[in-house]
Amino acid sequence: MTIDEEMKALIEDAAVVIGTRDSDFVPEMTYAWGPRVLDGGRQVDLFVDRDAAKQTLANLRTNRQIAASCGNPINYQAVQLKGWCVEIADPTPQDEAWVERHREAFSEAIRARGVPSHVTRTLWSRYIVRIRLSVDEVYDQTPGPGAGRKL
Amino acid sequence: MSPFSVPLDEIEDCFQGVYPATICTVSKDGVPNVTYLSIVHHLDENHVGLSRQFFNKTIANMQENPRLQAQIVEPTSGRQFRLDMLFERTETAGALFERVRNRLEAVASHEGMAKVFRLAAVDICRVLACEKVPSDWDHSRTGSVHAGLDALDMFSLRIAEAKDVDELIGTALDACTDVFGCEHSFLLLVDERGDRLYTVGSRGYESSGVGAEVALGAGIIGVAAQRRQSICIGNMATDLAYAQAVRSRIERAGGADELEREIPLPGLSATLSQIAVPILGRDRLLGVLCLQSETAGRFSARDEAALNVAARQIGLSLLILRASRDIEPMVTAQIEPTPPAGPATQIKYYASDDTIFVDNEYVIKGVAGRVLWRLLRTYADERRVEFTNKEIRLDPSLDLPDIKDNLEARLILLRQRLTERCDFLGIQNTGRGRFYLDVRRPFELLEIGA
Repeated sequence: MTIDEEMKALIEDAAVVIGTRDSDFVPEMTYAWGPRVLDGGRQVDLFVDRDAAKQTLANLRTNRQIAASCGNPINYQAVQLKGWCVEIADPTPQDEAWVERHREAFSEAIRARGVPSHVTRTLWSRYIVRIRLSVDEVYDQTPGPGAGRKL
Repeated sequence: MSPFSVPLDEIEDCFQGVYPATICTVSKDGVPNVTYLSIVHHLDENHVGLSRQFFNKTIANMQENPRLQAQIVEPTSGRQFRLDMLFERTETAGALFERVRNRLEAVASHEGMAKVFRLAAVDICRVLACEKVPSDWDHSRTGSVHAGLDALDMFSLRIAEAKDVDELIGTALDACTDVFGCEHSFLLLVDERGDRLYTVGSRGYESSGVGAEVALGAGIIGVAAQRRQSICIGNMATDLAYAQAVRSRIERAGGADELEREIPLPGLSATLSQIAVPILGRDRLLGVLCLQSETAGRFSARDEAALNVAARQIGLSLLILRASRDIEPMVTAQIEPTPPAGPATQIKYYASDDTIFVDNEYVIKGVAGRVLWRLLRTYADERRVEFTNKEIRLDPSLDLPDIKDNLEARLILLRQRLTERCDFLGIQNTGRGRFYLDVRRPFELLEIGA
């Protein structure tokens, strides 16, 4: 599965929530920031908060299975990526700048929806970890009768 | 004593649906699935309900593997909480289902999507753990002001002192501002046929909206009235964006015929929070009290409960005041009419729909228009300016067999419309069940036949 340019634009502007599971199939989720499509649309980098994502990272180190819901916070257009975590690493300074830009854009966008900046700021932390997702499947997740359709 | 590190009662604001929640499930094969959900409903100490319309994969996963996790956000602070849960059962009927359905369908109706935007089920989950998500920008929740018993006591006291329906409506709306701290409110009453609501008073808007009508079952106010249940929307912007996403999808799929015309919401242009509370008296729907705010998450579950009590108090007071409408007043104001002066104006009456125009400007129609025409004719024929509600109610020429309880409300509507639209005609109370037609300019009457 590869991500085309239109979907790339949707993903890189999106608010992202990651779902993982432990060896007993107990789910765990966390917000992720700075989605970045790589490798001709076959991989996506995501950045999670180190402390908030402790269990998420433990799950990924154990079984690598991951789902990432990427949704536009204004118009609710969304896709869900499913696949495998192929890398966990500390961020580079370039990564940190990329994430900072994404968070600022997100904050600005949802301020128009009545969400104050101090509320948005509480959603993330300074220390982040990069995870790389190899995409197997993409599902349409825009609300409505067609939600859940495999793309 | 709650078994959780964060008791659900302490994060009540997270359950208003101000910001969407997220849900994570896992299939029997171990594949996680994440989806958004507009609202998680807090049911009791350790249960929540998830409203379900479209997320088919989530329910399929829950049936295979009942463990799931939800993440919710506190609107005033942004603090996040994770709920580890166990799926217990699905409800497709009953009180909880109806409550959730009414809220959903109110938003759907507001967006003209009542035919396609329907609740499929409410999935009941037991909460196993509730924990705060760590953040380096942590601050305790900012103080949101919600109604307490003392506010309710004050509201009740003021309502009880109202001497007539007019004063009751004004006092109720003033108390919404003074006691509940909400600056934007309006009150509607049910019309004679029982299928529409009309606005009889408002506070905090550029235009009063008095006379504006809403059909029962239409929009948030109409659904609250029809289902006789309060409907609280924590973030109109989020709910409407979600509904519009569904709408766009249906339109793209060629299903536009199923969509209705959008109904404009009366009131603020930037409404984020809204609560519509039915006014009930004994077993009857009498009207709706609606409060609005430009702040998301303004009305909590406690506010909603307090406003329901307040609205019932308004309802009972309405019944009592209507029952005592023909009791002679203890004190009647003495009126010294001022002779009309200035150039004569033309007042036109269209009998087909009881519409009245003054100098070609629309003033009012319907029952209130018919009553005004009767008053003006009496004045023209007899120079009489004092009237009683009873004589209007019993006047066979008005043909008002069904008006009964609503005459006072129609007179309030008429008086306010005259205040806003006509600077030389007015209606003033002179005591319970009596009023005075204030005419400050000469006029000529012109009736256009049916």
